[in-house]
Amino acid sequence: MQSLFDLLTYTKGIEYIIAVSFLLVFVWFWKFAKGGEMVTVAVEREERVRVPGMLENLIGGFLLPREYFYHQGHTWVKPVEGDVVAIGLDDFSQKLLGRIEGIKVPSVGTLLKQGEKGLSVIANSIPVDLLAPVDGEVIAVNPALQETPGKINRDPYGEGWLVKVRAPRFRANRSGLFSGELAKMWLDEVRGRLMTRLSPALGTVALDAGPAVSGIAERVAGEKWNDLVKEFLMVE
Amino acid sequence: MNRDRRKFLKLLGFGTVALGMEPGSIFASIDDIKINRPDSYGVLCDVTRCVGCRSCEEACNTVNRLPAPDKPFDDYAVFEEKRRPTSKAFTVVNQYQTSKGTLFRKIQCNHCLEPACATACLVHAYQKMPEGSVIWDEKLCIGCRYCMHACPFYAPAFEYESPVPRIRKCTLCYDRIHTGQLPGCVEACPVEALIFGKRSDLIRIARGRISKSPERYLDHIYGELEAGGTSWMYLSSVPFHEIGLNTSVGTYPMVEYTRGFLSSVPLVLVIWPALLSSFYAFTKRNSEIKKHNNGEHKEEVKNPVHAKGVE
Amino acid sequence: MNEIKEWVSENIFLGLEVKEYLRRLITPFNIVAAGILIIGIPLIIIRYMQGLGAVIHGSNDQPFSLFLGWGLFCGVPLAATGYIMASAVYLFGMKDYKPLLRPAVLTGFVGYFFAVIFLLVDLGRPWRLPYPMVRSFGTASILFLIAWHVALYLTVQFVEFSPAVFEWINTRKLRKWAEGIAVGATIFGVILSTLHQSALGALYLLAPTKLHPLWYSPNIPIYFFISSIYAGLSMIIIESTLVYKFLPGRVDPQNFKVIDRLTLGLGKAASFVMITYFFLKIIGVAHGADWHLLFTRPYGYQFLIEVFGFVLLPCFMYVFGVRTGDAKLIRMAAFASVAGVILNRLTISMFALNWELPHREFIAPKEFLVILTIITIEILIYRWVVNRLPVHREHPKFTGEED
Repeated sequence: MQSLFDLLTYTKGIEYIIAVSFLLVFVWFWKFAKGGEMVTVAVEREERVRVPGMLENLIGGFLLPREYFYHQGHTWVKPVEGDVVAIGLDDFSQKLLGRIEGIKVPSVGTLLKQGEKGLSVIANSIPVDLLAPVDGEVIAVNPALQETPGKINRDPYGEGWLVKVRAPRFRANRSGLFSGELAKMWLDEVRGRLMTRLSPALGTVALDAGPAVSGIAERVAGEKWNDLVKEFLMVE
Repeated sequence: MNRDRRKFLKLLGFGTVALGMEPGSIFASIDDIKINRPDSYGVLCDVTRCVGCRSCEEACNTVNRLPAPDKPFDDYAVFEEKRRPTSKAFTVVNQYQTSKGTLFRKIQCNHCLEPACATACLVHAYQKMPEGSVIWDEKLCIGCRYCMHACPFYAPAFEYESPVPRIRKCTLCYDRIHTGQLPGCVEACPVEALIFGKRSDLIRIARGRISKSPERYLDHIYGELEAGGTSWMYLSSVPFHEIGLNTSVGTYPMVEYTRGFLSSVPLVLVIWPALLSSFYAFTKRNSEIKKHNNGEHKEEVKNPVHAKGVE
Repeated sequence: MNEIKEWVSENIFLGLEVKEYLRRLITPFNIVAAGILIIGIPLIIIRYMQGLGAVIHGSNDQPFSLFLGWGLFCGVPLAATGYIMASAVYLFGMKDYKPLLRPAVLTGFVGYFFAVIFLLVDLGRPWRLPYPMVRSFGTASILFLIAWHVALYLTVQFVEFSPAVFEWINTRKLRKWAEGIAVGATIFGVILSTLHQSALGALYLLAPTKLHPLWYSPNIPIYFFISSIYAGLSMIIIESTLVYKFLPGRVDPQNFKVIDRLTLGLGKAASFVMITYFFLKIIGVAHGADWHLLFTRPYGYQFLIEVFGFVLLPCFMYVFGVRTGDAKLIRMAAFASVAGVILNRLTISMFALNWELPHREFIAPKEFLVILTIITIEILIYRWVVNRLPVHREHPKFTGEED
């Protein structure tokens, strides 16, 4: 009298059992693999930044708060306390670049020089260099940006600040910065330059008011977006 | 549409050629290996009679003009290790410690009725001759050594030391038996442990010996059915694995193991093109429907007259 | 004449002055490669002058050594990239994978070409390589099938890759013709691949007494075919990982954006194939009633390690990578899968074959060096082609001319 074990292991029975269990495992496997996709999509939606349609921006203008000083490389400076200032990206550049995916800023103690490369942000998986607007020593890096670099897009003048710098020569640096009326005139000129790059085909695309992830540079210049960015951010 | 038709015809052409090449010719070559050739010769080796004198090795060496061995033929220290046929020795005798004492067995190519080597050779360099010998043809061999891989008895040896290497193995003294002589080893054996004759006769003789002396012999002729039957057969007093013979070879001729795969080849050649072309057609139709729904124009809808004019 | 000079300067010397080009050749990688070649090429010459035994470790009992074990049995499934990607793009309409199509075809072509090179070194009489094609047909032999199919497939792969060559030498008409027969060539290529990938396994059908029962099965051809599918998928991932890391200048910039997504897709496909393969192996053990062999030393344990550690584990690495969108995990899984295929093929061709014979040696330094030499040459040629031909990028004069 064969035992059940013998029956199963040494006859065809076990093969059929394995085959059937394979079918069940496969169904679970398929679901398991697909399950991931839904999760990723949900996360993406959360992080998607509401960037208004392009024409809206170009017509309505870019945000330019009064109390800030602006460098022609589109970084802003705001005095915080004593000779400490905060530095960040202005509204024009965050819209130009589109979704910021990360930052590459120098560590505390690094010296920055006005008009020279010092910080960079990551857009489209590529690091984009920014010019430092003042001379000084980095004393703090915005910790919140590690987790949510999207703050740069959502609140470029507030929670999206990049670094805090001790700038003892700020008074002298001010002559290299725009503010007030001068800043407005400067930005009008920048906007005009950008409009000349618009091609007619983009008209239909720009009218959609839905959430967009790619920035103006990509919509205007496609794969050559990085060149356009370098031109407008005044980087070599 | 023209493109697809052209492609399909091309495929049909390829498929037909490939089909023509494969199955029919397989059966032709298997027919070459005729199983029931009653007139083919063989050798019966009675292990109970062998005394390990190695005269057969010496005779083989002489008859085939092989180079002199490292150790002479009367040096019985060679029995300390198990040897196998090499590129310089078509046959060797090994000594075995068995349940019934010391026994000796002669090893050489068994000249199977349906040789695995012949099945394996991709240039048909092996031939099973009507006399029973399995012969290797130097004019065709490319040195791939697949025959060595296929032989269940590890018979063929290869001249690894030569830039123009040959396969070397026992030929059942084809040149001698063709002219009515005995194979060298059979003629030299002083105790008549080897008998040469028609295979069918040898089987009868072997059965006779077994029934006459059942205490002396195991009731089995090794090689009668092993690997589909071999020309060289053995009688033994102990179980055959004790004298180094592989008892798990089975009774299928080796070619049977590949028949299943080979017959699936024409099936693939017919089914795959049909299946894959359908995938392609389905995908193309799918994408055309999508394009149409998106309001784009199909490029191919051109007036043929205009197209000619443009070129 | 001037045009040719210009073309040579641009396309052979990468637009550099010859002196500058030669100077730039001196890199650490190239120095190591040169060192390997300096030792290996004389060894190959010795092999031809003194016979196989001088370099290759085959014996009368075990005629196929590491050399063929790597060159043919590992090389062919690792070159299975071409037919998989071509089917995906042309037959299943997955146009998203176009950036990986040419690299996959090139990997496949170079892989098969070098399998033939390995054969030319391993065959006893390599000048007779064309014999099974033209001189004498041993049609009952599975090796005959393999010989024909590899020859035909090499041709098909070249035809599939030829548009890149035609773009490089600037012949529009030939390129158009080559693109036109791409689908037919793909279908033919899939047929050939199915047959010869499985035929490599069928070679072992003739050795039921020699191969360890845990690996022997009447279904070996199917195992070899299915494992070649996920080996090919994994090799596509590995190739793109290496090229994007070491030759990024030769890759179209927009490919960098999609490569992670494509990698995930490939990983997903591979995981499905691998879970299927895992169960097929289990059924194989059940069919042969070999359960008791699973716990023998060393073969049982090796089988378990191979099937659980190098099939099931990478399978789940793939699945987790897909689920969490982690392309890095997928890439690691690709390396593990390929390692598993190599382990499987080497086991079957060397370790588990003739497992009952005593005194087997596997370590052969000279043989290993020759293998390393040929692999180095293979990598150098691959790099040469990717550096010059439009493989990972579009040719500037032919942009947007895909159908």
